[in-house]
Amino acid sequence: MSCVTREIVLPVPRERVWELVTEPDELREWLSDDVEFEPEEGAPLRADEREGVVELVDEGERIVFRWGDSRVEWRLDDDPGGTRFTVTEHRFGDDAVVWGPRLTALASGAALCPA
Amino acid sequence: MPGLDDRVGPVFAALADPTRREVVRSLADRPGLTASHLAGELPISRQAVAKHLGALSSAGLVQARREGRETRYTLTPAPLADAMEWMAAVDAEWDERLARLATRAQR
Repeated sequence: MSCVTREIVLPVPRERVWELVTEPDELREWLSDDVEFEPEEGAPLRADEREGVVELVDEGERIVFRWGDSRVEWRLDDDPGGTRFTVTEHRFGDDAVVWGPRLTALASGAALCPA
Repeated sequence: MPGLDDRVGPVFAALADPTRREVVRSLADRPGLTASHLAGELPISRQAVAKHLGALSSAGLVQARREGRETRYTLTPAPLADAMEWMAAVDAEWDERLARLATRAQR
């Protein structure tokens, strides 16, 4: 339920879609006005005020990156109409968020210890 | 919308756990259950229930009300509305971006 998924079929070959989603000049046309991006694992990225890092690059297939509080996956698949581009964005939830300062402070109490 | 993101993150984190989702469902059906009631229905200990209730209440999903010697729990609806608002906003952002991408691809 924490996920948003969108997909679109673009009437161009996969190589062209890969350019559209990895070249900063192209990204500025559709992703956001101000983009810093490099399709390399570990590369920092920025889209307007949102900052993040590229986590995974599968040449021509898939890119995963974090931006802001979310993780985004872009996937390219062949489609009779050209190339299907699928976007998935989800917020990370880890216990560091749930067990914030307030609960960490309480955690000394036995009530919060797992049985 | 950083303000909204800050509120929604803990909600998703709290709901990422299947047992906590069961707790939420039980409280949605029967508001005012105690931790002992919940432990009676779920295959986990009372201590584990207390831990899950702590996480849910920290995310603002659940509130506790003392009644005599018992503590009763009810859902607070606002955080779920925030979560849905977040999804609607992110959805709309991608719709706009993909529309621009489609235009670009056709050039």
